[in-house]
Amino acid sequence: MWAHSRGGLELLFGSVKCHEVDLDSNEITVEKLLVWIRENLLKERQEMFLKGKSVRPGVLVLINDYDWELMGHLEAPIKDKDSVVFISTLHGG
Amino acid sequence: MAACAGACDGCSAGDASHAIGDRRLDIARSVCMKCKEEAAVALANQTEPMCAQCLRSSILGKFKTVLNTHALVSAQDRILLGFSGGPSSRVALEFLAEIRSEALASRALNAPGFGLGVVFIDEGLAIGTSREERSRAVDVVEKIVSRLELPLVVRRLEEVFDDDNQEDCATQLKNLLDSVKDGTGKEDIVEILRMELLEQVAKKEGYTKLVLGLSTTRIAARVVSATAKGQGFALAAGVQYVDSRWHAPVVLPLRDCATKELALLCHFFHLETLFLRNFSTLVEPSASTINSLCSNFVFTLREDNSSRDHTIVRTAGKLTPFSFNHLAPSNGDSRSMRKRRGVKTELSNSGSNMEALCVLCRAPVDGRSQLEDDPRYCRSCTLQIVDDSKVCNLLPRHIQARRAGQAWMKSQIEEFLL
Repeated sequence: MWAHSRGGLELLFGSVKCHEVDLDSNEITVEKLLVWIRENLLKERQEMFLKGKSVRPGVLVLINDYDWELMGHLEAPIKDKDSVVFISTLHGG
Repeated sequence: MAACAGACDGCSAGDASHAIGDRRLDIARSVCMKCKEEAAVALANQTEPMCAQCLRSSILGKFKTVLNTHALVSAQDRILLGFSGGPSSRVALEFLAEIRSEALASRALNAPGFGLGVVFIDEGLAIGTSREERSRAVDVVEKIVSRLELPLVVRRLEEVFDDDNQEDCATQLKNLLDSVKDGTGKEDIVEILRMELLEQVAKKEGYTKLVLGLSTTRIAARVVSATAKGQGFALAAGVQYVDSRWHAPVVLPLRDCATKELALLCHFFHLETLFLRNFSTLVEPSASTINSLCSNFVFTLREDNSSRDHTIVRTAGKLTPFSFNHLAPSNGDSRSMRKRRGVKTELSNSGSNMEALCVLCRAPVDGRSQLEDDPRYCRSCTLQIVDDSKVCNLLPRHIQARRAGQAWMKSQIEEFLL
């Protein structure tokens, strides 16, 4: 699967906007993906992206261009070849 | 584990959506509640699952409704859009360009639609952005705006000091920012200077209205921060659709749209945006400036219930607006008529309706509660910015020259009194 970051978030991932993620299983939840990102990708300042088990308020999550709020939020499933986009709206002007 | 670095436009969400397009209907759990045909991709208007096209129509509908209901834009207007590169102002840019094109097309050979131009303020010096990054940002903005074939004005924030020498302007800005010790005060003075510069550009280039892409979410954050800063008397002033305290009245057509929806719109329709560092982007969730705390607070409130920013703005909207929160009827026309006819008269809004304004942030000043303060400044500016008299002397000269309260307001309209 691919994880994309937008809206300034890419700066937290070493200025890389797109990461290919290899999963051990065929399907995981967003919650598990966030754990993986925290452990493997976040170069700095985790609190700018994560808050507890979820993303920081103001960060949008899209799975295959679907709002994760329609897909089950943290429980939303992510499969092989899916694309997840994180967009920060904290500075939306 | 592989990571693809560098040219990420090649593997952008656009490509991904082509790949997964045919799986779309399999995955979707809801159908768009507006068209009832397409799969819903976003939860908008708090509880409505919508497809991308209906989301666009919904936001465009709100945009046009605001402009029409409040008669904010006429064919005689020359509109200046303050473009920050962010999703809100990007949507405002897209919609204004579209509305204008439609107006031009429908009128054919007759009078054209309203004039439209764009201004971008480079605040890089205030933040400490490198020259390369600032230059790259301007290039991106120029590319976006030129594609829409609109005139673009680019100004650096330091130009508000109106000095012929650029180096001097830069030094003056640095000195001013260094002299303001309070973090909130720094953020606020940058915003004040931005508005001053936007006004200068509008005045110099002959624009009659200034459109800003302020969303419900950001206005809600302002309501909360204004409350925390003790700006109660002035609170109603900055949360309306119209603000005529400026030479070109400020219009907020996205006041009813949440930032989330605007960001999603930019994503689904590939509207290019630009992420720029500013004071708030450098700040952690636990940061202590009033503005960032309030912004984080509003976003946190939205987590459980995405209507909360709307509720905040609606509540603030119950406060009585000021006289300058309306557009004067046939604004410019009656002024020019008076000039031509040489009739000695006063504007209908002068005199008793004219609120005294802070010469810095233009907040209406409640004279009764400020007996001991410098009457030129509101309580918030006094506490956060000009608490040190040294700061006053570092402000742009034209701001320093402003006289207190009513005297200054009168001088703003003096050219129209005969």
